[in-house]
Amino acid sequence: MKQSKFLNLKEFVLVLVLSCAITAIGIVVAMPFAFSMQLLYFLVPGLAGLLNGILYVLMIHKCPKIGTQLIMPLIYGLYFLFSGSVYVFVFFVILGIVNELIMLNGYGHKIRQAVPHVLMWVLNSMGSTLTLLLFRDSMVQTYMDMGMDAASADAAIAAVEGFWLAPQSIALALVSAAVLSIAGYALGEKMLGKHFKPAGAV
Amino acid sequence: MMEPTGPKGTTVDPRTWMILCFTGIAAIIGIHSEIGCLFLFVWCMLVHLFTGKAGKIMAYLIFYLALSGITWAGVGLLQNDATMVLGIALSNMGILGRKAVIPLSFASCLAKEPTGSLMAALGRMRLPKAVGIAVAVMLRFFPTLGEEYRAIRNSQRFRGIGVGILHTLTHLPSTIEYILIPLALRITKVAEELSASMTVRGVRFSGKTISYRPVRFTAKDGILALTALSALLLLLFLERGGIL
Repeated sequence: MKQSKFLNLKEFVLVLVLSCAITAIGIVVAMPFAFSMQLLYFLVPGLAGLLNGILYVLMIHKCPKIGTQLIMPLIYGLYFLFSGSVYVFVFFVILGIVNELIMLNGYGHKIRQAVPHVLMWVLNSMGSTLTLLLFRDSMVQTYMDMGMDAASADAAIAAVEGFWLAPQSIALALVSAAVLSIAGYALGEKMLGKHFKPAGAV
Repeated sequence: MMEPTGPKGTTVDPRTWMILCFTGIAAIIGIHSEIGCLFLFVWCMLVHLFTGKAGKIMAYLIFYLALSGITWAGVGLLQNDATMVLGIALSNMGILGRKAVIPLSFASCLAKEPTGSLMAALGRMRLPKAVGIAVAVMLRFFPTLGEEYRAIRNSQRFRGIGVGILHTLTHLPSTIEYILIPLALRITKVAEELSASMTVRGVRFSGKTISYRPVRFTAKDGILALTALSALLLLLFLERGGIL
């Protein structure tokens, strides 16, 4: 029987639940580092990419079809939407479409398959920056409502922006996320041969 | 076609929870002042109170107060150059956390709606069936994931894996491998069970989805939706007018 290029119900549900797991891991990984702005920016997105590489590899080997690459960023973006970051959600939707285009007839190519995973966590490293810019006015207002004068509140936010938007910080965050998510993909490929294939999961 | 009969439906239509959720998102983006956010939170709690979801109000209140404390401490630390970075992290956590609680509290109510009602309600919004399946699976799966994780952690502890923070940190790669791999395998099983359950319920067939429970957008839903939009517009007006 000719295989469909699109996900069937079983594959659709599998991609959904794996995407939920990827989102949950992405959130849980950030929690121990929530007190450090530097670690949140430079380490957490890559760490999430490292761990989620295993689930990503399992997902693309079980469901190498049109729709897989769209669903994962969409579900992850929904988490940002419910936290109020509409821009980040829109960027993840665009990323999903781009990833689908990248993977058109691309499943089975080891390097090409890694690209959507890397792009996902690289964009995630920029998510906090976008959220910060979206809620800038709220932060200034809260600082002022809690006793700071307008100049100090603005200076505090300017200091954060200075760190967050500095070209060297952006470059370090992007490189860190890319390197660790590539390592995650490689780890996933290793786990595929070591565990998933012997267990009959793929 | 006969109107489906069955047990008395939930008091609020799933579509109303969605409207409240999206209004909440718009509100937390648009409203910036502390007092405006406090009014938003009060409105959110009143919605929970009047829709029979008062059980969680105390938990939300404690969460909100704790985050307010964290924000206050963070802003205090901002004044000192040595503690500024920690102050920024704490204040950001407090500000964003308190904002997120509003839409997330409505999303949690949506998650508690029966799957059939949810899918029927989404079907009436002319959304594709895949959207209904996705929303139902997503809202149900997060608690399941937590249960699966705890079960795996408990069984691995018997084998001496992940016992205590020190042991976990010193054996981090193997701990992750022995927890993440069984979790991934378990997730694939859960997905298979879910899709089998959906298949026998006839979800894959085309046609209108109807619910065992009545799904109706009643006057109460209309009032809730209108109140939400009015609260948002009023707070925006008051804030932009410099009254708040």
